[in-house]
Amino acid sequence: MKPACEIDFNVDDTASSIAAMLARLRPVTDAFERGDALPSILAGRCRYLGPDAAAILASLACRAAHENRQLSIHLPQEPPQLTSFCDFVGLRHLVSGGEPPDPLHPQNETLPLTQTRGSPGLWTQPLISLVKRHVEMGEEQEEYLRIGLHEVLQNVEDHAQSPIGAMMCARYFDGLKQVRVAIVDAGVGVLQALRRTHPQIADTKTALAKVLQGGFSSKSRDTNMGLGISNLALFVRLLEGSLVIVSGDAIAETRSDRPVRVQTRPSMLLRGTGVFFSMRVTR
Amino acid sequence: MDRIQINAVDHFDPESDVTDSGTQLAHRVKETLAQSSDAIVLVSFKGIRGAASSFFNIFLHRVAGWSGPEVLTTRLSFDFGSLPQKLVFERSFQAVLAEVSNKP
Repeated sequence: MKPACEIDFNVDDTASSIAAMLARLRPVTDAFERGDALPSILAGRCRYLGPDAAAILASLACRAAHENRQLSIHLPQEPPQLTSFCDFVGLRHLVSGGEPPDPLHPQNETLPLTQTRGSPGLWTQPLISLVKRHVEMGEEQEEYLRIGLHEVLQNVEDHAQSPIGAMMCARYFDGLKQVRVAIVDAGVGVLQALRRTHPQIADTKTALAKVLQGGFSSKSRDTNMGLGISNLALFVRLLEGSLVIVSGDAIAETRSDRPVRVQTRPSMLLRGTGVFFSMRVTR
Repeated sequence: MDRIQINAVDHFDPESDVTDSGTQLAHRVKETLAQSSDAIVLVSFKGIRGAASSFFNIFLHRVAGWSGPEVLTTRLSFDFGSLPQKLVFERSFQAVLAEVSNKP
């Protein structure tokens, strides 16, 4: 029987659930590294997936496709709200083919999975348009969201060396007046990137702490100053949001109501970097 | 003292590589500084949306490299279209100024 790993719990866009999901997916990550057959991913018993989980699954699917390897992902078949999300975010299309999602559907609160490469400015407007379809967003909020997204995508472009670029998706939550954005790449990760110029940094936990602090750059461009992620962290705190960054075996979290927390979770492993942030988009 | 305004939006393409926009703007500033030996050059970022730190870093580094780091504080002033933009710029400005000022 082909090995499988199961996501049989809800992945609700929190640091703990992202870490738990990545721990369950560890056999897939290890198989990628060893060149072994990739275990199937079974999510049939999951009852909630958010954009974070969608982007993680999509990055694995994209990486498998890039490496001409077979990865089987079984998505939930219920409840209806979850299967709708899997349709609207494009997971079902990615996994099983068929019609791609319609991002302009009037009931759509989801920005479908998009593989991003190149200039961040190419990818922002659909997210802004999605939010504006549902709520009147102030100019300042729009600019925080636009710049925040650009900072993450520019990091992927400058530092990640990701063969798939990044997988991005988002969802607007009307009850919370909040947008959640997920961007996952399959690159070298924060530690390897930073060690280019800071070889003394020994582990990913320290590397994540440095990028959140700001001022530590891999100098992929000689003009880089290592401010992108710390800018985003500042924005999410101003806009009552949250920021979770995962790379390797470490995860960092900051929210408007608590300081930065960075932890090593030896059971999980993300090859590359995942940035998951939320912002309140109205006053 | 004379003041000359440059509108950065005229040199900013959000869909092209950030190096192009940052360098183009820095060129314009360099030319303007050279044409007027004592005027203050006001760089207005109004109308630009989504400019991330990379754009400002490249722009400020190029200006400092071509015209000397001292112009950042003696010959240039800046105008912004939004608070987020100003926040990002100021963080880049302080970081670049510290770096270029410490270079031998």
